[in-house]
Amino acid sequence: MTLFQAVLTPSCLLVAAVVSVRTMRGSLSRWSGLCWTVTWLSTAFFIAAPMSLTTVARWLGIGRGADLVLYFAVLAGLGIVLYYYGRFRRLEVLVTGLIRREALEAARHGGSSASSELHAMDSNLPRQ
Amino acid sequence: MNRGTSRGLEDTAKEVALASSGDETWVIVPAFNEGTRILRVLDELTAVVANVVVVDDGSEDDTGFHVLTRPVWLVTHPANLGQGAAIQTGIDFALARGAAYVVTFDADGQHRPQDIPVLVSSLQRNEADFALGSRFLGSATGMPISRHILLKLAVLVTRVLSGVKLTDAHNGLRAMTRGGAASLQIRHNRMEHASEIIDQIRHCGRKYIEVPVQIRYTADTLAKGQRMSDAIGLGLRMLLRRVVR
Repeated sequence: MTLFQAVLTPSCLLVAAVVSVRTMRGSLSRWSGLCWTVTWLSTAFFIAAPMSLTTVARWLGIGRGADLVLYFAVLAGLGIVLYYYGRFRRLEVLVTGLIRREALEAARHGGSSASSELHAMDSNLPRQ
Repeated sequence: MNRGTSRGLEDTAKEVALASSGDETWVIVPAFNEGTRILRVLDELTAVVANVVVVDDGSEDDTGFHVLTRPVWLVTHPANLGQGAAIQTGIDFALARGAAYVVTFDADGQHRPQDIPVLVSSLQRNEADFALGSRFLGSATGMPISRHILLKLAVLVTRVLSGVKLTDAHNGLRAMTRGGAASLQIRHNRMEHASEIIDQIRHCGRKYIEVPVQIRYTADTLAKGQRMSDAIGLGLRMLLRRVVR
């Protein structure tokens, strides 16, 4: 066993154990906990037995284990980008709504009749 | 303002009054750091229409201060959100004030107030909900060739992604009826709003027409215009928007 394997294999197993405990305590949802536990256990296994990754890759019709990891990393990366873009968009919509509400409530007119008109329009403002 | 222009604006004001019973038309001017040129635009606009709302989109200069020296409404975003967000804020404000027609108008002075009554009367004549200004049906003085190519590319992209055939897909001068404005819900804050509006018009099945307008390109207006790099980013965001909603 190389130094790389000796360090990373137990580290991944430790993370898998922590995730499992957190899932059992309810800090993570069951589905999320299961996915992460399987991911870390698989990572530990493939680090400890790298040739098995090549076997899986060949079984999937991909020549090398390294290529399988690369494809998986690219797909996972894209998935993460889309997930966080979706979260960013939802937050942006929320913040925009708050800023818009504040802006509409503080509308001012360059003329002198501003304040009375402001009170009149308060009840008509759209709710976000 | 010279006398000829003044006479032109007075005539236009009469046309607006005829076209939309005067007080029914609201003009939305989204502005970001326009302190040096907003007054010229507002002076031209207020000679033509009674109801103007400037949406100061978190400007870092004295845009808001200048706006309040004119008889127009000022709505201020506490932070910069983008032109799309500013237009939606303006639409919400105008609808709350009882607007029958809503017009969007850029703050950089590239649009002519004289085109507003033409757009509004086109809505009435054609029973349409949206009148979209087109510089390619009208004219564009001083337009650089690079801008021409960029805008034609935008037309092509809009046609491919939205399936809507327009001659000018990114013109900030547009008019809409109250119903049309109420049907819009611009969710993309930045420059994607132009294509988003077109998407929503098509999705809601609203009737739209293109109306010839004149765009004035000057060193001022070109200084803050879209560059090729902006256009590429815009195209990518439009694509991403179709994947993640």
